[in-house]
Amino acid sequence: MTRILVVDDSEVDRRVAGGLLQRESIYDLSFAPNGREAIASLRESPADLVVTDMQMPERDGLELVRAIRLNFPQIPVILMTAHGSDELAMTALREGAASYVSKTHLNERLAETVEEVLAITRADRTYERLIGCLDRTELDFTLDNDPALIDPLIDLVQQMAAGMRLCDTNDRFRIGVALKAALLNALYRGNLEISCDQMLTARDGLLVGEGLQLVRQRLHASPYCQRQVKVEVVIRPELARFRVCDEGPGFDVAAVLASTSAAPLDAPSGRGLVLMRAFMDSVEYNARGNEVTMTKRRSPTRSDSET
Amino acid sequence: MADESKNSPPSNGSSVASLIDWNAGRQTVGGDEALLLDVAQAFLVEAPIQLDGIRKSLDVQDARLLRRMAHTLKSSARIFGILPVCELCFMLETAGEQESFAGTRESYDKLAALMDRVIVEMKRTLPPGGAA
Repeated sequence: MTRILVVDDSEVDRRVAGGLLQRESIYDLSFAPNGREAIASLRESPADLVVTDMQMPERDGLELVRAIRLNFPQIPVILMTAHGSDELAMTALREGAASYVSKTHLNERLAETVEEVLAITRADRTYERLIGCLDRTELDFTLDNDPALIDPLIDLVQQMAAGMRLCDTNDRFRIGVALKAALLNALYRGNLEISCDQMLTARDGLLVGEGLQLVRQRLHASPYCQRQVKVEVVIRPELARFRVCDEGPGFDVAAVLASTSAAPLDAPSGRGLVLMRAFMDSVEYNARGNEVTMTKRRSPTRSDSET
Repeated sequence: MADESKNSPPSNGSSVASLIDWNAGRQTVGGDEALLLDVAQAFLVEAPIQLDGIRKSLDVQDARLLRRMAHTLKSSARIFGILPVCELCFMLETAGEQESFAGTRESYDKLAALMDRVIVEMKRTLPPGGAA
């Protein structure tokens, strides 16, 4: 059974998060009131995933993220953010957290985000040793509007990136999260022209191609159904570049970037872009707004930091 | 639970029943009544401790403790839509962040009075076998 450690200094918030996750009945939950006890708990019995508050005594969320990245890099961390902790949370996202959920949206998003991150961390490692011998890889995909293709593509890219020593375990799933956000955006917002509000109301079913009548209609209607998503992936040991291009009309890049930069983390939209910008070293759009290029440089290793 | 406290917006009026928005709580826990009861019981135990923590932080002028305690109580109060408590906690949290204690004692006194009413209302409206 998947073990999840919930860390929060508030018993009230621990019960809310624990209760919402317990409804899934597929998790073995444990709890800690602060970062220090969380690390002690992980040393005793490692978890598959950690969900943590940001503001806590005796090691806050940021310190916990840093400690987990150092000592348990294979364990992803999801932040529970509250008004007033955005700055701390953004730093934690840049330094190792895998995703975030606003405390005001726990009911709608916590279980979904946990599953999303767990799915990305379960990537197949069959070819890890062989990939370790690769010097450079370049992959070009042309995808139909089929969400079922997204997870296998991400698995493959994660294997390549980790196998070629571009990133540590932690950055491996952060690359997966960022790439998934870009692909979902290209497919739904770009090719199918589903608006942000429509996306929010139908989020649960989107990953399996269900949940919104408009999506089902557009998957078979012209011009949407002829559109494809082009994905270019270049990975070298020191750098990876991901270009995702849809065939939709594009969007006002400057306006979206400005609104996302100014919005708090509990804003209902823009979450994908927040994660892409936190996890990649650069995120750039073309002028039309239908193509994003993300660059990830090699993660500093412990031996790098020691020298 | 009395109907008037289910949907009525929190206010600083005289009605004790208007402080807690149980529907906000239900929304937070996805309509799970058992979980709502569990969370409310935790609130009854924990909120007075946090309030006391705020008082102690003012006594010893510990800005960091003030910020954290006010932040946590604000987060718990928001679950039940207790907006006047959230607003006062936000003021105290900001004071802690800015390390400025001016006016914090008055805010605390208002908060303590409000919290007395919240605790009374929550205890009164929680039936023995279920939430509100």
